Amino acid sequence: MTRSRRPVALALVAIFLLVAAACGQKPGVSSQITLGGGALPEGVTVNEEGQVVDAEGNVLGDAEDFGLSTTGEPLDAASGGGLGGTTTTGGTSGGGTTGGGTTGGGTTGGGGSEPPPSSGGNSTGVTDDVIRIGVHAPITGAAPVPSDSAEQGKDLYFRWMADKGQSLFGRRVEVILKNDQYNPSTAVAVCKEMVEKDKVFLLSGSAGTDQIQACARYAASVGVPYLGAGVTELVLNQLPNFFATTMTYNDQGPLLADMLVSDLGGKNEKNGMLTFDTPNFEDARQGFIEGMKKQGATLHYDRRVSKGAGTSEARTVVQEMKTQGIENVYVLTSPVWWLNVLRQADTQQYEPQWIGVGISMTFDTVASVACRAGGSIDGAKFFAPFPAWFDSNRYDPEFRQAAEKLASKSDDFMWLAWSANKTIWDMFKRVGKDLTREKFVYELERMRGLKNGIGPELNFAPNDHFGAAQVHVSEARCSDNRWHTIKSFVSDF
Amino acid sequence: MRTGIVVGATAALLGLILILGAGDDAGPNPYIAIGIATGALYGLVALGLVLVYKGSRVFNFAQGEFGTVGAFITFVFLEQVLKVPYYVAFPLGVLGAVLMGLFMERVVVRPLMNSPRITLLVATIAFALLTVGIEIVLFLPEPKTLRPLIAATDAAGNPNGLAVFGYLMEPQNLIVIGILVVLAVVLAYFFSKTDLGLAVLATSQDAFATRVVGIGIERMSRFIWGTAAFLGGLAGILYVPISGTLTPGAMTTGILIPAFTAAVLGGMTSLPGAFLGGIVVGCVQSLANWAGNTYSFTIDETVKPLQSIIPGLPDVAIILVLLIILLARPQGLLGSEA
Repeated sequence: MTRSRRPVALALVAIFLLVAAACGQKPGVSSQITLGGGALPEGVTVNEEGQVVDAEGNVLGDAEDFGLSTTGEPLDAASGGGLGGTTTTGGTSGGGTTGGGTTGGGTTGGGGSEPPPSSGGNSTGVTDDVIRIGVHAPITGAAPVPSDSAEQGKDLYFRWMADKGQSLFGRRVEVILKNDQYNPSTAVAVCKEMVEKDKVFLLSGSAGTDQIQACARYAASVGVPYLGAGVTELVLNQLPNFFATTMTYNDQGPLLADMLVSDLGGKNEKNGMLTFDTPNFEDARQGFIEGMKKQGATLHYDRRVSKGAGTSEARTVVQEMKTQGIENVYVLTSPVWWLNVLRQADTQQYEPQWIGVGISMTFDTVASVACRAGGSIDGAKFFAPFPAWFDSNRYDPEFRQAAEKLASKSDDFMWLAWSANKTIWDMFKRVGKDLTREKFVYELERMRGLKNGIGPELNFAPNDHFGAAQVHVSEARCSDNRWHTIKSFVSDF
Repeated sequence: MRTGIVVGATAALLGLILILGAGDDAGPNPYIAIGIATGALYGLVALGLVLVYKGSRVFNFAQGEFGTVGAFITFVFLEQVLKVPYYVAFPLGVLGAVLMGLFMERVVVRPLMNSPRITLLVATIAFALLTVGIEIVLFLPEPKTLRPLIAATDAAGNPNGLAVFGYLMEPQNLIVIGILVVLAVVLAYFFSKTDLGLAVLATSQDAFATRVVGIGIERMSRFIWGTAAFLGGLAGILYVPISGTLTPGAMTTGILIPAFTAAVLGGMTSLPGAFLGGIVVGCVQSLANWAGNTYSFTIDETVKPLQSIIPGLPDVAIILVLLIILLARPQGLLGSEA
C-alpha cells in the first residue's frame, strides 16, 4: 500500500516545486530602481554636500561610493554598485518567502543583474523595536575567548548607541551569544537553536574557521544571512547568504609573502609553514605558497599536523625546524597549540620570526601566556582584521568610553565585537527601515565603501561576497605582554 | 595463525621504523629523547591510573582533572592571590588535588562501591566533566600558564638543561623523569612489601574477606583515592609548565588518553609497567612523527610525505603497538593478576 503511494507523493512534490519555481520573480516584473531617479531606499537621500544620508541625517558615505554623482544621478548605471543597482532582465528570486527565499546567483554567479526583492519577504527576528541577531564564538575549546568578555562585549556597541539615543529606524539590536566550543558540530547545533528557537534575523561568527564554515552552511540551507570572518573560501564562496567582513586567509597568503620578502627580508632566508591538517586551511596554504613563488622566495619547510596535536608534535616540529635552520615560520594552527610550540621553542632556544594570519592568534591572552612562558613570541608579526586593543583609542575612542560606562572591563575580544557590531549597524542603516532577509542580502550585495574606521573597508558585489582587501599588522611585544598595531589598513607592502 | 601473521607483520614494520629511527652517523636520533621526555609525562599520569585500578578495579577518567585542579590552585597562589613562592604554592596545589580526590571518594566512589564497575567508570567520567565545568566558571576558559620550577635558561640565556641525543632536555622534564622513576620504585615496593600495600591489594581482590580479617575497606578506599589524587596533582603541576598552557580540562584533553594507553600497555596492575608503557608510547609517537616527515612516496607523480598519506600517523602507530602487545600479551608488558 505504502509502496504504491510513494510515486504519487513524489510526483506531487515535483509538481509543487515546479509551480513554486514558476511563481518566482520574472524578469522585468519588479519596478526598476534607478540610483538617481528618486527611488533610493526609503528615507535615504543625497544632501547638498554630495553625501548619502539616512532619514535621521546620519551620513552613510560619499555619493561616489554609491555610484552617484553629487546631485544624486547615477555615475554608471551598469556598474551594479550603489544602493539599489539597476534591474535588467534575468535572474529569478529563489522561491518561498519564509525560511528559504534566498536571492539567486549566489556568491559567484549572481552577476548583478537580478531584480531587487519585491515587497514582503522574511523578517524573522525583526519587530517594530528590536532586531535580534545570533552570534557564535568559542567560549571554550582550543581558541577560547574570555566568557565575561564575550558576554559584555557581544552588544556593547549597540548598548552604547542606545545610550546615545540612537536607533535603527526605531529599533535596537539584541544579540544572542552561544558557545560553539571550537567544534563544528556544536557550532551547527547552536546556530540551529538560534534560528529555530531564538528566531534571530541573521547569524554571525568571528573566530574558528571550521565553525564559521559549518554554521554558514547551515545558515545558507535555511536562508538566513551570515556575516563572518573571511577565513577560508572553500564552500563559503558558494553560499548565497554568506558575507565575509574580513580578508580571507587565502587572500592574505600572498600579502603575507609580500610582507615576508619586502619588510622582513625573507627572500634569501629559510622559510617554513606550519599548519593544521584541515581541508579548510588548504586554500590558505596554497595562497601562501603561490605568494612565495610570486615573490621569488623559497619555502623550505612545509609541515601539516593533526588538529589534535599535543606536546609531542610540538616538540617534534620545533626540533625539525631548528635542525633545518628555518628562520621564518608561517603558523596557521589553533592558538593553544601554537602556545605549546612556542613553549618548546623556548626550551630549545629556537627563535625564528613567527608570522601569520588570523583573528584569535592576535588576542592579548596569547601574547601574555607566551611571554610569561618564555618569550619566543616576542616580535611575532601577524595580520589581524582589527587593530590591537592597546591602540584602540587611535581608531575609535568611543570604545573605551563605552566600556568604562557600560561594562566592567575592556579587552580585545570586546574590541573585536565592537568593530563587528559597528559594521552590522551601518549595514542595517543602509538597508533601511523595511528589513527582510531577502532585502538585506540584496542590498548587501551592492554595498560599497563600508568603512567603520576599525576593520577593513568593505566592498561587496553580487558576484563577490568577500568584501575586504585590507589588514592590520600586529606585533607581539613581551615588554608589556601585548600585541601592538604597527601598520594599518594594509593592502600591499 | 592469522593473528600471528598480523602481529608478526606489524611488529616487523614498527621494528623497521625503530631501526631506521635509531640514528645515523651523526649519533642517535634526537626524537628518541623527545619520546622519553613526553613519555615520562604519560607515565606519571598512568601511575595514578594504575594505582586506582590496582586498588579498586576502576578506570578513573577523573585522574586528569586531579592534575588540572592542582595546577589551577598552584597558579592561583603563585600568580594571582598571595603570589607565594613556588615551594609554598606547589604543596598547596597538591593538597588541593588530594582534597578533591577524598571528596570524590566520599560522594561518588563510596556510595557506588558495590555497584557494577561500569557504573563507577561512568561516574568518574561524569565527575571529570563536572570538574571541567566548574573550572570554566572559576578560572575562565582563556589560557594561563605556570612557569617551570627551574627556568629553561639562566640569566645569561644559556641552557640549564641537559643535551640528550642532541635534544635539549629542559630541567622541568628531567625533574619529571626523576620523580617518575622514584615513584614507580617506591610504589612497587609499597605494594609488594608493606602491610598497608598488601591490605590495599587484598581489598581490591575480596572486600568481604578483607573486612573479616579486620581491615577497614573505607579507610583503604580513602587511601587509594587520596594517593591517586596526589599523583594526579603532582603530574598536573609538573606538566603545565612543559606544555605551556593551562586551560579547563587541560590534562583530560591533553594527556589522559595517551596515559591510559601507557597504563594498558604496561599492564594495568604494574606500577613499573606504567613507567615503561609511558616511555614506549612517547617514543613510538615521537618516532612516528619523525618518520611521517622524513619518508616520502610518489603517488600520482606527486611526492607526498608519509604524514600526508597516513593522517594521524602517530596515533595510528600507538594503536598498532597497543594491538600487538595486547594480542601477544593480554596482561600488558609487566602486568600480572594482582
